[in-house]
Amino acid sequence: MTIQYDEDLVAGWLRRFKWALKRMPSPEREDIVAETRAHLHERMAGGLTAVQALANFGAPEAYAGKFLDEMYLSAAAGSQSWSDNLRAVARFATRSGVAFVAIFVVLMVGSLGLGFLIAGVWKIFDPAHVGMWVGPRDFALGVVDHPEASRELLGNWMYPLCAAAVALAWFICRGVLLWAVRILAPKA
Amino acid sequence: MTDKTSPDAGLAAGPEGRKAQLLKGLAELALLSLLKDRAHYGLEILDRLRAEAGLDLAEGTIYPLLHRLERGGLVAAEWRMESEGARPRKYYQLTDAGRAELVSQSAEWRRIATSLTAFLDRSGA
Repeated sequence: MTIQYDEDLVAGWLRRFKWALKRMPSPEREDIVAETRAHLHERMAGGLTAVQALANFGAPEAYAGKFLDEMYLSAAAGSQSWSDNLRAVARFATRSGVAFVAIFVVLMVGSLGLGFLIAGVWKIFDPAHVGMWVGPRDFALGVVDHPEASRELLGNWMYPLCAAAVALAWFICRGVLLWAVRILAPKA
Repeated sequence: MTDKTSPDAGLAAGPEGRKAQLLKGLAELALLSLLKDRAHYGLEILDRLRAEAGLDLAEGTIYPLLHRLERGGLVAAEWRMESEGARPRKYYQLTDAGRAELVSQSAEWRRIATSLTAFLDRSGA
């Protein structure tokens, strides 16, 4: 009765563990689950109850998180891919000051860069309403509804300005992400 | 915003976080050293590091570390069945890259340990 109860407890824990590892490639996931199963059974053969053996690993989701952390950081450390780097750093954003700062900077600078990109593309199709505007009481960089009320300062210089701003934002975001991955990854 | 698995976590996590960070670095060096002579399986590694290296490692710390080292090419792993009817175990052994890393980390550790000991001893701290 106790043996069956222990087996059921371990099987249930391993099911949750495997589910929590679902983002990992299948052969790797199966390997990790098999190794954990072997470890638990060996501990139980050595005299621990299932509850004691499982308590040493903690919640299956938290334990799986350690493998996923390593997987994302390893992928990011050897990669130039934006998605690999962003995914790895975002994963730590609520747990690491470095990751939080990096994501904050990427969001701020990235939004600015995106704004300049949209303005530059918009100007191609609607040059009369996009530019750097100075009016009697205000200043605007971007799109205005009534261009006759303001004076446009940049003209076609708006294009290189937008291109430079987008490039600068791209380099800053890229640099910040690589910096964060280098600090977060133990062997980056 | 503390993370015991990230390098900037120890500063904010207090004594336990600092201990976890220190242990993480030492565990890797001790593990590489343990695998220098022969292949070991996970439970055996954990028990030997606790008993012989005096590292107070939590049960769930050794496999993510082994997994990272395997992914990094410092250790290689294979499943073995030691006898008929026995449970298969995953054995880990050092690769050539792992041996080179062990030499490098050992030298670095000795350099730091010597310097730090001398520094701490200067005023009897």
